Amino acid sequence: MRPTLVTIISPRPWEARLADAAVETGLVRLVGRCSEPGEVPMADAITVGTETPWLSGATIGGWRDRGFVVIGVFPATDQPALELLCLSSVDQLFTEGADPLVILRAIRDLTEVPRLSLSRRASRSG
Amino acid sequence: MARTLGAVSGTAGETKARKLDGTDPLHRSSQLDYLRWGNEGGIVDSPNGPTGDRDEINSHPDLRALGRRLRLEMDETLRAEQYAARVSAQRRSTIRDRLLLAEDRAEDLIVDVSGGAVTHGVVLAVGADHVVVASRGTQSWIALQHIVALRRPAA
Repeated sequence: MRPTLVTIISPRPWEARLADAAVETGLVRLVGRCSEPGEVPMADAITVGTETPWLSGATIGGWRDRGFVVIGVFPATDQPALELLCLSSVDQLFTEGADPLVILRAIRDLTEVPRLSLSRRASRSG
Repeated sequence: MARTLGAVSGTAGETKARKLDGTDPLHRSSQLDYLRWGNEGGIVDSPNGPTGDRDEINSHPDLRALGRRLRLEMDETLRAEQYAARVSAQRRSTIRDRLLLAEDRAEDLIVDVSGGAVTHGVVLAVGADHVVVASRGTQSWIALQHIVALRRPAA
């Protein structure tokens, strides 16, 4: 079963390359390229770049709670961007120059791993 | 003359100064992020990075206001860039792109073909020059060049 992917649309070239690679290779099913948080449909994974103006730790946490595998993409030299993604506990990090096929294979592999959302973990422990 | 905003640690541990005048497009959004993720009063230091001018920006009341204003302006720039990227993606898209999206979403579509034929079903596959639509147990191979419209059935 191919995982479903949503990308947050970006002016940076990595996002268009990733979307093109997803369509051409069929490694994942690209079900949306969204520009606002309210547009994001349910999917197995989501990729977001740190250039996204409304991105915050709370947004990433919300996606993780909904069961998304969250992939963060950041410019290689941008330390604050890296910190935001690390503090928000994204599932995987990539620099903008990463090969789209590597990102897609990571998405495919990560979505096969059984995972519990933070909220479910909290409710079970509480 | 480019102004610089503090010093930021690079990947190899070296110190890099960043321009604030927009002459360094590769790093422009990084600068925006840098400001955006600062606290309300100014810019937050990285625990690993050197401080330098950033301490000055945090402590000086005039610079705090400047930092806030820059952060807002940069957020607006990022939003405009994202909107432009969305519009650009829409304008470049083709009927085939839309069919690929429908296939990945397993969407129900109504395909109008030249000559008046109509096929209603789920997109099973998209080839280089054709689309396969499954409808009531039959599969139709439709040449992309004959498609005149795609419609979503009423909910």
